[in-house]
Amino acid sequence: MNLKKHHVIAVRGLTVFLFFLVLEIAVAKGTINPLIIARPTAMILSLYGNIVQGEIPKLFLTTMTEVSAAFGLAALIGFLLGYFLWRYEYLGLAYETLLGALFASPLVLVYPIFLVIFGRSPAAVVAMGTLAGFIPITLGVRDGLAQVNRTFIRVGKSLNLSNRAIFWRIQLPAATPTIFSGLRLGFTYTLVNVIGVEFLAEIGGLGKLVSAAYFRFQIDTMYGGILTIIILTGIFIYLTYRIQGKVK
Amino acid sequence: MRKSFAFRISPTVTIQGLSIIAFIFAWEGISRSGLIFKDLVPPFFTVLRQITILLLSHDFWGHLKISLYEIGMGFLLAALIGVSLGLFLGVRLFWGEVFEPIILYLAATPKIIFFPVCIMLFGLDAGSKVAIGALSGFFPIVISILTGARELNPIYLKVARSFKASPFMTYFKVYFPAILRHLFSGLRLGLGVTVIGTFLGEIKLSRGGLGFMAINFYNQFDLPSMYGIIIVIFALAGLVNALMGIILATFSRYRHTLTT
Repeated sequence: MNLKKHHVIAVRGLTVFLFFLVLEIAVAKGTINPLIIARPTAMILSLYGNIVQGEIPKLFLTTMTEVSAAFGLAALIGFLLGYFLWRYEYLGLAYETLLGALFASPLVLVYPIFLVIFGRSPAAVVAMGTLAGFIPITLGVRDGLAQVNRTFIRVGKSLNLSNRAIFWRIQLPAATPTIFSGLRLGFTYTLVNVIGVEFLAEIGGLGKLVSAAYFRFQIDTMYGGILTIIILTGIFIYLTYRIQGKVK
Repeated sequence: MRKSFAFRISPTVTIQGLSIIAFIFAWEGISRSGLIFKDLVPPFFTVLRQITILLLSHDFWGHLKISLYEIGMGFLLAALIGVSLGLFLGVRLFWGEVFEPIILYLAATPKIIFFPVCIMLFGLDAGSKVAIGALSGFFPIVISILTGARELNPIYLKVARSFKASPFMTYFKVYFPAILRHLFSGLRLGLGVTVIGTFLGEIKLSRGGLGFMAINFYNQFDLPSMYGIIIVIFALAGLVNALMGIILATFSRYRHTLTT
């Protein structure tokens, strides 16, 4: 069993390695135009250079600041709204559909409106990230609280707990896994939208780097930026899965 | 139990309707007062008038055709590649395990950052939008199919083998009906993401399409038209999604006649 798992990981690593090796050779030989796709070694070298003395650490920090601000706002709005929609059932039923429809719509396409309202500034990026992130959090909080087993609450009542104590000590903990799923989804959406708008509007951090490098025709830097974004999102997805495993 | 239900509007619908009306009034009020976002938020009815003008213009329909073509081709590619690769990885369990994490992690990255690569490979026109739309739509489809094919009851396969079904027959008579539910949800999700990817590509860099119109209005600071075209794009996305829903619902009915 364990042996098979190692086998899978080894083949996976080998496949990725072979992919890059073939790419390297194809670009070096000119089969693939080096002006279109950079050699993997050149990508990594440029990435290394950009990390050590270039702008990547600063841009990374900018992106992370935007993501944190947007996620913080999204969580705040999501918790308040989710609580509210759970407390008032009719509002909750009505807004669940509305929010669901909004969530399914191509929400990111409103970003030019944010550019108009906030100017070409990180505020526009944060606004977009917040808008994309608060919906799953709201729905997660509402669903989580609504799904709490009635028996738990009855037990609390029979122990003469106050409503406040029932909420903090029974309902909220029981709702935590669902709330956390909402938070995880919200974080992913915030991250993707922040980087997306950075790229589209060329403002802020890592997304801007990819766009600017493309227009300056610095192909190595551009691929370095893309690689950084893939690794960054990968790390975050991994971490959220790990944390979710712990919560459950 | 509910006798007068045809004449009663549920409170849910009432709240939804009131909220939408309140939103429109708030928009109109904010814009008319001119206090907060002077000029930046055009009045709702100005935008509505602009939408009418847009819909009547000859220009709009040309751009619409471009967008629809790009979305259609992108989705077709995403579906073809996504379904075949998903089936392959779902059937060959070993390769499925090898590639699944790679696909899951790539699925979470913002696909739009690959857009410069698409432009360099396929040019400024429809090609690059088809590519970015296909790339975006591919991931939800391949993941759904992979999950569906893996959940297949092994007994079905044993039955197929004992009947000496050819691989082709096994795919079409066993796998295909078994994964239909996953196929449908994957296609629906994929189409939504393809629509987003295509429009974002058009907004970023293009020479045609509704996204191109939106960013053009932005650059000319013709804000009522920009808001108008964004609303039209949302309506279009909703329409495409609804159409897909109807088509899939029709197929589902067909599926039930298959299974029973």
